[in-house]
Amino acid sequence: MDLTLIVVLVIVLALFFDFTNGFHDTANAMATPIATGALKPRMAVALAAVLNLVGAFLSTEVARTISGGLIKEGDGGIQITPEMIFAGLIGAVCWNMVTWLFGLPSSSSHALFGGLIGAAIVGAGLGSVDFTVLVSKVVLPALVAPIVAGVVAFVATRLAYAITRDPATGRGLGRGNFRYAQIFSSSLVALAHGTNDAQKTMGVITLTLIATGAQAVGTGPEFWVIAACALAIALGTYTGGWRIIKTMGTGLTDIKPAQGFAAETSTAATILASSHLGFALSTTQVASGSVIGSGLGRKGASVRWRTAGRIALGWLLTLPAAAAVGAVAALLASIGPVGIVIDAVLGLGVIVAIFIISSRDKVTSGTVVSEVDAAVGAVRTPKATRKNRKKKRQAAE
Amino acid sequence: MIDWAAFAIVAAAALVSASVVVSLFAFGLRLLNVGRGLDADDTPGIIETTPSGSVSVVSGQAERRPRWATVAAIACFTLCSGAVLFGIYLIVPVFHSS
Repeated sequence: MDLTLIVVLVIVLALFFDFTNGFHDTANAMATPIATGALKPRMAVALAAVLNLVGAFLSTEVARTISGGLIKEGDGGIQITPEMIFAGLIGAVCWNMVTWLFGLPSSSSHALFGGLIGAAIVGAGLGSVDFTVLVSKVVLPALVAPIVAGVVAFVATRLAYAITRDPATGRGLGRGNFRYAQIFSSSLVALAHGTNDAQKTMGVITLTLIATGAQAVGTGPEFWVIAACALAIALGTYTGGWRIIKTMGTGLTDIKPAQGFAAETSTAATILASSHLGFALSTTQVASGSVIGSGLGRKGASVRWRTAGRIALGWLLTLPAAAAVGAVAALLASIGPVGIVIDAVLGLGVIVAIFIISSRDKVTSGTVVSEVDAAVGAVRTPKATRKNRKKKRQAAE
Repeated sequence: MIDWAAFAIVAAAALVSASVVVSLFAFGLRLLNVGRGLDADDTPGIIETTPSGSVSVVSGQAERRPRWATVAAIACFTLCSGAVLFGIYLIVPVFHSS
C-alpha cells in the first residue's frame, strides 16, 4: 500500500514538474518571434504547445539514458528509492516555481539534476554522486553552451545584416521579411525542446517504476508515460510563462526580425549539433546566449548587462539551490511515511503561496502584447528606432 | 575526462550550419529586392539624396526584378528549407535506427 502511494505521488509530482518545465521554456522558442511581431502571443504559444506535444513522441533515447552516470546505481552502487526521487522532484519543482516568480529563464534540467543530486547525497551519502560526471556533463556544458550559442548568433546576425545591406545606400533591403523565417526557426526550437525536455520526466517516471519493480529493468518508457508527459509539457507550454517571455523578448535587448531569426537558428543549430554528438545542453541557456549574441551583432543595439547578470546569477544558483531543497526533503522523507506527508504538504504550500504572490501583479498575454506592440512599432519605422529607444529608456529612468 | 574535441566539433557544426541557413535566407531576401534596390555601379546617376536625407529614385529604369533574380531567390529558399529539414531528420532517431 505504502509503495503504490509513493509511486502515485512521484508520478503526479513528475508530471507537475513537466508542466512547470513547459511553461518555463515557452520563452526559449517563442520570446523572439513575439517580440518582433512575427507571431501573435496566443498563436505562438499554441504553436509551441503542439510542437512540444509532437516532439515528445519523436524519441525516447534521452529517457532511456536519463539516470545513466550521474547517480551511481545498480550492482555495487546504491539503490534508488522512490522516496529519494520524490524528494528530488520536490527540490526541482520548488526551484522552478521560485525562478518563475522572479521571471528568470533558469534551466529546468539543472533544477531536476540538482534536486536528485541533493536527495541522493542525503539518502545514500556523498559517494553516491559521480562528481567527475557532474563536472564534465553538467557544469562545463552549462558554462560553454551559452558562449558558443552567443558567438554563433553574433556571426549569423552579422551575416544577415551584411547580405541584406544595399551597397548604394547602406540601408537594409527587405529585412522585415525575416519575420516569416522566424515562424519556422522558432518552431524548430520548440520541436527540439519537446524531444529533449519531455523525456527527462519520462526518464524519472520510468526510473521509479523500475525501482519499485513495476517494470522490467532495461525497458523503455511505457506508452501511457510518454503520452502523459507529452500532454503535461504541452499544457504547460500553452499556459505560457508570460513573465519569462517578457524578460527574454524585451528585457535583454531590443530584437529585430533579422536578429530573431539569427538567434533562433543559432539556438536550434547548437542544440541539434550537441545532442547529435552526445552532449545534453540546456535549451534555456543556449537560447539566452543566442539572444545576447544577436543583440551584440547589430550595430547600435545595446544589451542590458544588468538583466543578463541577473539571469547568469539564476543559472549559478539553480543546481545548488535545488540540491539544498532536495536534500532537506530527503531528510524529512527518511523519517518515514509521516515525513513524506510533511514533504508533500510543504511542497504544495510553496506552490500555492507562489501562485498567490504571483497573482498580485499579473503578467498576462494582455500586458505582453502592449509592450511588444511598442517594439514592433519601432521595427516598422527604422529611422526613428534609435531615437525611440533612447526616449523610452529616459522615460523608464 | 572532458572531451574538448567534442566541444570544438559542436561549436564548429553549430557555427557552420547556422551561418549557412541564415546566409541562404538572407541571400534569398536580397535577390527578391534586386529590382527595387538599385545597383550603384551600373546606374550611378539615378539615385538622388534629398537634403532631408531620404533617398528617391529619379529615373526608374530598374524597378522590375529580373527573372534570374527570382529564380536564384527561390533556389536559395529551397536550399534553406532543405537544410532545416535535414536538421529535423537529425533529431528524430527513428530515421537512424539500424
